[in-house]
Formats: sequence, C-alpha cells, structure tokens
Amino acid sequence: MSDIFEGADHENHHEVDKITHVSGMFKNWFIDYASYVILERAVPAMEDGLKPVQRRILHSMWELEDGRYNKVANLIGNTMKYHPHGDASIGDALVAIGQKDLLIDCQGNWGNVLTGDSAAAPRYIEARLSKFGLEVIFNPKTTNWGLSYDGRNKEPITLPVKFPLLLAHGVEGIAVGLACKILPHNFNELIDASIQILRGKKAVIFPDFATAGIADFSEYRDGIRGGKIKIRARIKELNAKTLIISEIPFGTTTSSLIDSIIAANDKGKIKIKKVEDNTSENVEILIHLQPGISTDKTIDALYAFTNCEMSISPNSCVIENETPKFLGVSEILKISTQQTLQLLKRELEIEQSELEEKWHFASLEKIFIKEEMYIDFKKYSNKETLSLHDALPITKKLYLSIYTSNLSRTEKNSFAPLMMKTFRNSPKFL
Amino acid sequence: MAKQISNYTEDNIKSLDWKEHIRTRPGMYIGKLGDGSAFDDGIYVLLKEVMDNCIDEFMMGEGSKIEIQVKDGVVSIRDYGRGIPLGKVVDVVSKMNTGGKYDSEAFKKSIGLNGVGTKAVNALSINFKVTAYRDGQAKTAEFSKGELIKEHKLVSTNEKNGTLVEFRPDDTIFKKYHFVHEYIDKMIWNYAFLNIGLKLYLNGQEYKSDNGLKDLLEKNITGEIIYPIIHLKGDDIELAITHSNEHYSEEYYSYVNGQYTTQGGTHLAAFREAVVKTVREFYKKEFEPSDVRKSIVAAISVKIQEPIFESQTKTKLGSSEIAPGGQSTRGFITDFMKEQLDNYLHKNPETAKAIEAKILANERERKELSGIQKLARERAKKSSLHNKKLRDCRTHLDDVKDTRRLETTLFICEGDSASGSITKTRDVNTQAVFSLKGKPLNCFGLGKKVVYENEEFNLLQSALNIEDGLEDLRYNNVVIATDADVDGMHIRLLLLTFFLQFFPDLVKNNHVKILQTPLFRVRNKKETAYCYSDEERKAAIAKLGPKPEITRFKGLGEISPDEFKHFIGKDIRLEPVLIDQKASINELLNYYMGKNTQDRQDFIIGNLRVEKDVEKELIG
Repeated sequence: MSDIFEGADHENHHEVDKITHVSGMFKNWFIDYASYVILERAVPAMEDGLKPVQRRILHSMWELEDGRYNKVANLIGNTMKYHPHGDASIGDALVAIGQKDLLIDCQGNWGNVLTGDSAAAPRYIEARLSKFGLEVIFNPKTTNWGLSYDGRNKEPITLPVKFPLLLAHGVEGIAVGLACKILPHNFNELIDASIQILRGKKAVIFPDFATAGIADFSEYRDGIRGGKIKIRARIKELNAKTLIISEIPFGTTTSSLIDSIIAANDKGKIKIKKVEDNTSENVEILIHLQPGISTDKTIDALYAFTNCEMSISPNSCVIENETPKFLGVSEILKISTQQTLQLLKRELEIEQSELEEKWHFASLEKIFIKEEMYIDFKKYSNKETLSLHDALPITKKLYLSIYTSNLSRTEKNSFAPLMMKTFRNSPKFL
Repeated sequence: MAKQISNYTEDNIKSLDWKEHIRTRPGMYIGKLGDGSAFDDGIYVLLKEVMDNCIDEFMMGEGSKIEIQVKDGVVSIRDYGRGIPLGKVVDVVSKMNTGGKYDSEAFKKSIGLNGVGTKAVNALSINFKVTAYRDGQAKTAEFSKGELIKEHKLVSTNEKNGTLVEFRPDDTIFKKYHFVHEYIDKMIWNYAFLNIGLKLYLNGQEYKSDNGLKDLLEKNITGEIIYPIIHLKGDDIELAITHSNEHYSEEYYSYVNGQYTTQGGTHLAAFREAVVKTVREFYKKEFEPSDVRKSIVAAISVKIQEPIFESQTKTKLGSSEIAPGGQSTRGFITDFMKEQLDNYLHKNPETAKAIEAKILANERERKELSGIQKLARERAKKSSLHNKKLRDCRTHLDDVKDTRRLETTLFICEGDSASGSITKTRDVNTQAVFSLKGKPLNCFGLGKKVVYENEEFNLLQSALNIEDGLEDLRYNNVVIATDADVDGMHIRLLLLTFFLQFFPDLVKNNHVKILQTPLFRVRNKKETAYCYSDEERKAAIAKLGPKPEITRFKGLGEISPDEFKHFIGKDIRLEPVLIDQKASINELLNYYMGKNTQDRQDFIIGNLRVEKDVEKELIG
C-alpha cells in the first residue's frame, strides 16, 4: 500500500476479523455447559462419593453442628453460602440424604420412601449429623480445602470419607451426554466385602434395596453401562380372590405401583376389582380380583404389564481427576477401601506427630529443669543466636529428633519461648 | 419591515459544502454507521459504492477483472475498465452530481447512477486516493475527508487501463471499525454470481461463477434439496428455484440491477405470486399458495430502469414498472415465468413430479397443523392485544420512514436475571425486551407445531412477527442476552436451535446476535469495573489495586440497572451469529441437540473444561 496509508494508526483495526461461526458457538457453549453439568452437578466424585450439592450440605451441617437439631430451612440457607443455586434443589437433595437414613439424624416428617409421601416443609423438619456421619465423613485435618464461589468462605474440595458411601447410598444423575446410575448396597455386605479386599481376597457385591423385592442380577456386569437387572415385587396369593404385594421394586412407590396396575387394568391387560394400599411400616398392597380370574395368570400379567417388574440399567460413572470414569462397582469398592485405609493411616500419622511434638516439648522442659539449665543460662544470653548444640546435654534420641526436624526453626521460634516459659516457671531464676 | 428582516440576509443562508453535508448526515448516504460487526454497517456500504462503479464498467463490456484488497483497515479496489478520463479524475470523486452515467442507455439499469457513491466514500475516508490509468498515462489524486490534499502530475505507466481506488474509513465516524471477512466474502460472491464472466480477486483469492444464480443457490443451500435447481434466464431477468428437504421457511435471494434487496419488494412479491400461478396452471389444481411456497429456495435477479426503492439503503424495491412508462414489474415477471417455468416443467417431468409430491406433503402437514393453528390464532389474538412476555419499543423495523428503524433491537433475556435491569435502562424508542421464564424447550426434532403449542415460542414468534416470513420482522437486531454462566450457555443453545430449525432466514440474514457480557468483575470498596477480556481485567486490577476483589462474572442479575446502561448503550458489544458455509445446520443440531451418542460422549470427555476460580490466577 502506498504513501498516505502508511504510518497511520493500525492498532484499532485487526486486519479482517476472525469470526466464530455458529458451529463454533455451539461447540463452545455446549462444552461449557456439558463440562459444568458433568463435573459440578450430576456425577459424584470418586474420592467421597458425593455430588457437589451433597458435599456442601454435609459440610454446612458440620459447620453448624453443636449437638442439637437444626431447622432444615436454616441448613439450606447456610448451604447457599457454598452452593449458588435455588433453595428447592438444595432442600430436595437434603431430604434425599436424610431418607437414606445413614448420615443424618432426622426429626419430624421426612416423608415416606415406601408410599412416596413427601417430607414436611423445611421450616418444620429438623436435622443433625448422625454419630456415624460425624465419625466417618469429617476430619478437617485430612480435608483439602478450596474457596467457595464468592471467594469468601472455605469449602472442602472433597470430604475425607472413610467408608464406601457412594455404594451404600447409590446415585442417579443425568448429565449432558452421559448419565450416571449406581444402585444402593447393603451396609453390612459392603463392610464384609471391604474386609475381604483388605485380606487380598476377591469380593463380589450386588445391590440391595430398602424396598426389598426380588432381583435378577445375571446381566449386572458389575454395574457398568450395558448391564441390566430385573427387579420384581413380591406377590403372594392371599386367597383365591386376593393377591398381596409385600415388597415393591426399587424405584417405585406404592402409589406409583398402584397407578401402573390401574393403567394395566384400564387397558384390559389384567382384570381386577379393587386395589387397596394398606401400607404402614411394611408394604401391603391388596389386589382384589374379579370373580373367576386365575391368581397365577394375574401374577404373571402383573409382572408383564405393570411396574411389578422393573428393568434397570445401571451406568456406573464417577469423577476422578476431573474426568468421568466408567468404573465397575467392585472397582469402586476397591478404590474406596484403599482410600479408607490411607485416610486412617494418615489420621494415625497426624496423631502420632502431634503426640510426638507434645512428648518432645515435655521432654525438653523436663531436661531444663532436671539439668538446672536456667542457672547457666546467663552465659548464653549475650549470644545472638542460640544453638542447641552448645546448650544442651542432649540425650541421643531427643537430639536426633531436634536435629533432623526443627533445629533451624528451633533456634528462634521453639527454643526461646520454651526457655522463657521454663524460666518464668522457675523461682530460682527470678 | 425592512428592519425586521435585516438580520436575515443572503449571508445567513448557508449551503453546506457537499463533504460537510455527507459528514454531518452520513445516514442519508450510507444508512447506518456501526463498527463493522453487522453486515449492513457503513464501512461495507463504502466498499460497495466503489465496487458498483467497477461493476458498471464490466457491464459496459470493459474490464472482466476486479482486484480487491482489504488489509489493516484499508481497502483498495482496482478495476480494469476504461479508467476515469484523466482530466476529470478529481471532479468525478469530489464534485457532486458528476458522473458518466447520465446519458448512456446501458447505465439506466445501474444502481450507482446518481453520482453520489464515490463522493460519499471520499468524504467519509480519512485517506482516499484515486488513480486512473489510461493508455499509458496515470493520474493520481489524494484526499482526506473529501478535501483534496495532493493532485499528482500525469505520469507515464505500464499499467493496464482502469481505475484504482484506495481508502481508509474515517474512524472518528466509524468508531473502532473492523472489517469482517465473512461479510466481504459474501458480498464479493454476490457480485460474482450476478455477473457471469467477471473474475474478482479478494486478497488474492479468486471469485467467479459460470452459472450465476444457480451457483448462488448451491452455495447457500444447507442440506438436501428435492430436485435439481431450475435455472431460467431471459432478457433482464434470471431465476433459480428449488425446494429444500430440510427447512420449513421460504428462502429468497432477490436482486435488482445487481443490488441485493434483503427486504424484497415488488419484484419478489411478483415472483412469489407468479410461482403459485404457474404451478397451479401447470398441474391444473388450486393449491394453497403457502403449500406451493413452503420450503422453497429461490433467487431472482432483474434489471430495471431507474429503479425506485422504498428505503435509502436500497434494500426494498418499490418500482411497479420495469422502465418509466413501461411494462409493469408484475406483468414482466409473470409473463416470463408463465412461459419459461411452464416449459421447463413440461420438459422435466421428474422435477414436476417431485414438486407436486412436495406440495401435497405440505398440504397434508398444513391440515395436521390447522387444529393447532386455530389455538394459535386465538393466542395470537390475545398476544396482539397484549404480548405478556414482551416490553415493546416505539419504533419497529417495518416503520419504513423512521430513521432509527435499523437500530431496533429485541433483547431476549432470562426473566429472573436481566429483564428488570434492561427494561429500566433501555432506550424505549428502539430497544424492546422479551423475557423467558426458565429454560426454553429443546425443540430439536420437533415439528413446526411446537411453535404454536409452546406458549413461549408462540409469543416470541408473534413478538418478532415472522410467522409468514421475514418481510414483516419488527426488529433489525434479535439479541440473545443471557448470563455468561453455564445455564446462560444452555439457553443460548436452546434459542439458537429454535431459530435455526424454524426460522433459519432470521439467522442467515444476520439478524440474530449475542450480547457480550463482562467476564470478570474487579472491585474495591469504592469502585467496580466489569471486564470483557483478560487485558481489560489486568488494566482494571492496575487501576483499582492494590488488592481488589476479583470474581468471575456470574450473571446479569448481579449488575444494577444504572450499570447496565453501559452494556446496552452506544458501546454495546454484539457478536453476530454466522452460519458456516460448509456445515449442515441439520447435522450440527442433530449432533449437539439430538440424542446421546457414544461419539458425542467421547467428544465431551475429550474436551472437558475445568473452571478454576482461584483468585491468584485471576490477579496474575
């Protein structure tokens, strides 16, 4: 380009702008959204088996823990310090944890998992952490902390859970592009299996449901994607005209089950006179048949056409190192068991070092007094720094530990105050 | 008496110098100003004005090559026509109403015949340089803001005949302007399609077309078509027609004398009418017009003497005659199509069969929809009484006479996030607000009836007034103003899916934009700064230091109304939504908005983004 156009201000104009096309925009937005939903919303972390909302609820409960019950509404409010979302989603998640009856000690009407009745409003019901929860989930010393979303509070990145919590609770989450479904397991079976693993033996686990029922795990495939299980309600013949359902499949409630039975009846797949829900502590659904209808055939039809038989496809998925991993449940149990071992070890190590430190200072103090060091102390007081080598007739063991771990620090930080303390306590010196 | 008017003498009457007039009222000459982020911004009109002269040379049979360079904000255009007569070089670009196109018959069908174009470019450029090459001699003149700076002496040259125009738009008028390659590319292609035999070079890349409008359709069609493009040519008229298999709307590209009439006009109206008439007569069936035209993709180019436009920017043709006192535009187009299209359909029975099948399918679909449309009509009645999601503005795009019609903007916002703030601070003359409630439906794969069934979509359609195509669109800019957080991204995806699936024309004609919102907030106890980029963030930290609070921006709801003014005022930042030339929209939507596939899952896992909100990182 010639003369007059040269030297002019070029900075404002990028040559010809690079433009993001709609496909680029889609990719960009989609990845942003999908990443967030996968990593921060729907899929649990391998380390503690919790989704972010659950972790924040538990942390918030621990923060408020004083041994007394807290109103759930207040717990929700406190959780919002960490979880920038609506109160309803936090409340639902809290009630769901409570209904699992493991980590939270519930007071008031928390709903009914059998009938599907919902919990009372958050301003009525109360909660505190259970003994088990307090013992197994929290330990600030072994927790990795990060900043909360507004940068004003600390929150755990993951909690140091010393138990295969994820498998006990089970989880269901629908993210973008992938879904996650891990079924709940029996508490005692998990512990037994963990022990097997620690003994170096192979452990096989299968899900267990609070709603009981009968299940076929032949195609379970360790809970990974592509596996499938069939769960049936337990139906018995009460008499020639009546059937009784005493256990229901996982994922149904007595209300939803009855709805499906009525729907099948409307379609003419089964012929019944009446359905009654007599559930109290245990499930009891009575199905009154029309006269002349065979009970056996009705039972078969119930399994075929209603939710009395459910097919569930697990899809075991967890977040590890900020990536979704598709691990089988026995693999998850193995990792979780090792993690628990490591955490316990770490706790013991921390306790040991705390005790050692205590013992260390106690021993020093003892030596000071025993050797009447403070009498000669004047001799050292005009020295700028004090070295333990000069000062102490140290026993071999103590010397080593001071020498290796905290000599340089000791000179100014530990040693001097310790001496001061010793002096102050010593009438002779004064 | 004499005393009273003594102050009003001849001295008081000023006639503005031509360049001053252009510079004080640029809108009269080039439409809106803008910074180049929209396709109809002023800097592209400058480019076009110069190009039009080159095209006129080509139409005179001179100079089949035009070279265009756009670099560092400077445009240079070289044609190989006859070159401006050397003695008149200065006059042609700097004297009003001077030109060579007043007497020739050929130029009667030209666009730039009023002798204003190049002068406007000259007056609105900080540097403007014109060189004419003629028979071994060259004459150069340099200007700044229309003022002659230097008139060079005649020199001898080896260059071939023609004219070279170089200009740098004045950035006191086009603030922070930048050229978008995409728009220029599209413009140059249009010249190529409409001028068979002309070779254009943009920054060295060649643009030419052998089949005119047929090539144009092929380049613009996304997805499958039902039958091969029908391409018809006659004196002063050229047509290309096909039906799309993928989208529902009618899609037209209409041109008058090489000018793209984005809003159609009499020629397009005549064409739409004539298609239906011809088809009805050919099949001897009284098809509904909408069934014939649904999914049609067509281009029409006509040449008209002394065309009249309904707007200054020449985007809508108003001429009812093809020449002053000549045949009516409507009659001309109808006659041509009745003969040529009818002949074509007789000669190509397979195409005829495909068209009939498509029309019948459209008819079936319409009947299925009619029940829902009844419901929709009732709703439309209600929403024309009061559209409850819309807070309208005073001016609309279809108020042809209003000077601010091109500024009209509809903000589509998340209801609980920004609606309130935007409503409070908007310019109620041109800025309207449409509030969504929560996330809109993912309409991918759903039929058109969802536009009627879903109340939110229905109200949006009626706010935009695009049920029957773009002609009555009420806002020039449709701006998606969601939060810059992840849920905002999701809503953008969902809304674009809606527009791309049911109203792709809206996107193709560059009406849809994304409101850029700040990425960071930097604040100390006294001041708050919103930053759009890392550079801005660093600058703000330097200014507000030593230890400002820095947060990644979470949502528009965090901004108070009086701060919001700056985000939607004259410094508004809009990102245009541009459709790629190559990718199929349908495939795109299917991939991102359709069912889960293993492929997509792998793609997500391979591209996961981890957001780290560490303050240290932000300060660094």
